[in-house]
Amino acid sequence: MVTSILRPLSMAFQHVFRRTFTVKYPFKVLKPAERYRGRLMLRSIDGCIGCGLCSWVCPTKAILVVQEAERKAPSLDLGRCCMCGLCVEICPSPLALTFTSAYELCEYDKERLIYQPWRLSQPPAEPPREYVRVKDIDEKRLISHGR
Amino acid sequence: MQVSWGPQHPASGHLRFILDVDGDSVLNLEPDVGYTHRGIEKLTENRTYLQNIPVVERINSYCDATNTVLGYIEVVEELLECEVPERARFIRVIMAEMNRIASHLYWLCLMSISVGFETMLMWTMNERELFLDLFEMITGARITYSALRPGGVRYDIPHGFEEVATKYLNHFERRLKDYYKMIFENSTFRLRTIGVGSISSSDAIKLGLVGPCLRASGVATDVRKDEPYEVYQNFDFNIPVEKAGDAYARSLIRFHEMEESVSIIRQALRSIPEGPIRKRVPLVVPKGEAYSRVEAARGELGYYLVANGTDKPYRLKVSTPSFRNMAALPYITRNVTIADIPAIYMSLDLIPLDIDR
Amino acid sequence: MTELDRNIAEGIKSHFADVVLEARVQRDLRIVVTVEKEHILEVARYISSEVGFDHPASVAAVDYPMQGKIEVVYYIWSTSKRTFLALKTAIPRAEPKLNSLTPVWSGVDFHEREIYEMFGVSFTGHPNLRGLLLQEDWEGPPPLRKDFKLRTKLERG
Repeated sequence: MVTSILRPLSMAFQHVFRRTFTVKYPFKVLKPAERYRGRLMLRSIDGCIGCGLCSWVCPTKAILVVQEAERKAPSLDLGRCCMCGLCVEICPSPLALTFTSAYELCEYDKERLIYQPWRLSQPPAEPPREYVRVKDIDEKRLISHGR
Repeated sequence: MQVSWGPQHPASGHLRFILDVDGDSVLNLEPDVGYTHRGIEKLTENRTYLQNIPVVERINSYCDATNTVLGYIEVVEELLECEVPERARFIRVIMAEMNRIASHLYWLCLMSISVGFETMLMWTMNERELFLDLFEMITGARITYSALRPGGVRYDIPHGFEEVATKYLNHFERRLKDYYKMIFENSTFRLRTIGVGSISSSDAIKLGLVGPCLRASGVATDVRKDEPYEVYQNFDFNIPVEKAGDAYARSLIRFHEMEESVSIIRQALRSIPEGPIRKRVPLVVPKGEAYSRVEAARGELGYYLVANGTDKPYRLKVSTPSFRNMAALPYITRNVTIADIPAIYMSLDLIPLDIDR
Repeated sequence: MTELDRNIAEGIKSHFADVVLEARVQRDLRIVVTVEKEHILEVARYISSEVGFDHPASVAAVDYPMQGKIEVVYYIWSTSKRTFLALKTAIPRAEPKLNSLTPVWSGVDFHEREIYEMFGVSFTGHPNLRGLLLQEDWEGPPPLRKDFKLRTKLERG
């Protein structure tokens, strides 16, 4: 009875002196995996052929094909987007829709969540700060918990 | 006296139990569910088969997305009668078993806080993170993958996945031993769970319990063995069975299932064949009806699909494991104390999202 | 396995020659038995006690407004024979009434409540036939019937 209470205590106590493996988030940022599905981006407006397949396949109807300076291009409502990636999969043009690794997508204004084609073609802004690779964290995590 | 337990109770999740109590003991429990009802069965009737993949994934997204979609893919493929490449089937099994481990770790986290053991919350969430990292490597998402397609999978296993996965699995197996010492041999946890909420095997069958809850009562039923789907017949694994049928037995079953899942992932990584991962399939599903069963983390998950020859389902009925396990609650909570309700509720691993759909 | 399934289907068919409309094997581990709605309770009793289908899996309903019927399907697994059976019946859409099978399989309690709520099928003999998932003050037609149209906008406006 007493040992079964003391043993978990001692096991937990060993962890007090281990290194932490969390990231001090706003100052240091985890770099996501290569295939990470963050915000959508148009590689270029000219690369889009305006076929509208992305709008057809979108399960939440987040994508709407709009007229943008004599051509048709998708606009994205991030408030509805569920990042499923059906649009990127179906897109026939290699120069149009793709994923970026941006995941800090909050806006103060609801209207700002709607990305018109030109804004959708801009790469996401990356504030200057330190990036931590997932691999570093993993090695730390495995070492600090191994025996 | 009637007491409402939930939906604001810290251990309840999005559901409510209406308890008839006499002092501290519960005379009758009635589940009041539906707080997260999204009408997914109706939504699927208005979307195409491809668009339904992210939709059905939301039935149980944050625990068990792969297995939930796998059932849907199975039922669509049965009507399409399409060939699936062998490599795609192996990737599906690897993802399904990884998701089973992640889901059981999430359950262990909830179970341990429901008995007041918050160290395990931190530990299990840490190990779950490893599996979410593996999912991020394969699919680019951590919770909702949308990675399975009729006729194959969308993402191939990336280069170098096997080394990372083997490293993580070795580490995870070491940690499982720690878990066992930490929680299953812990006298507090044993006092809170042994003999609490027990159900006999005949009652469990009659009420239609599934998965770990049924196997904890001594009934060796597992869809992966009874009706092998994908490539489960190629692997050598056991079905853990316990006799007692109480909360401790259900916990132990899930713990041993994690060990079996690790072994299945290892075998799959060793024997995965080369080849294509996806075949083209038509968008229109021919007329007909089918019922598919898969073993999700919480138990058997059934999809009943009626197709009418268009690109949208005529009717898709989902029979979720949590909905079926909920039937046991009124039976096993008679004459227990209110303080035991969280442990019983968590040991059934009910997810309100899964119940309500 | 298919041999066993075929034997079970033929056994049920021969025992209820005039009540069971059809008993066939759809594929491995899928037996489909179609019965008349008046006799569903006695067929279910026979299937559960004599044939050994004891583990209720699912109850589904499908609405066919053109034919004016609602199809109710009970899915049962047998833990002893290790096979799966669908017990089907059709009820008129105008008067949706069916005998409840809770006396036979107590696990179908919540499933039948869901069908009652979503399709308006009232199960006679059900001990606690009330709504389950929808809100308490829900008004309007049963939502999973085909004449209930979604009010949400599928288009972005």
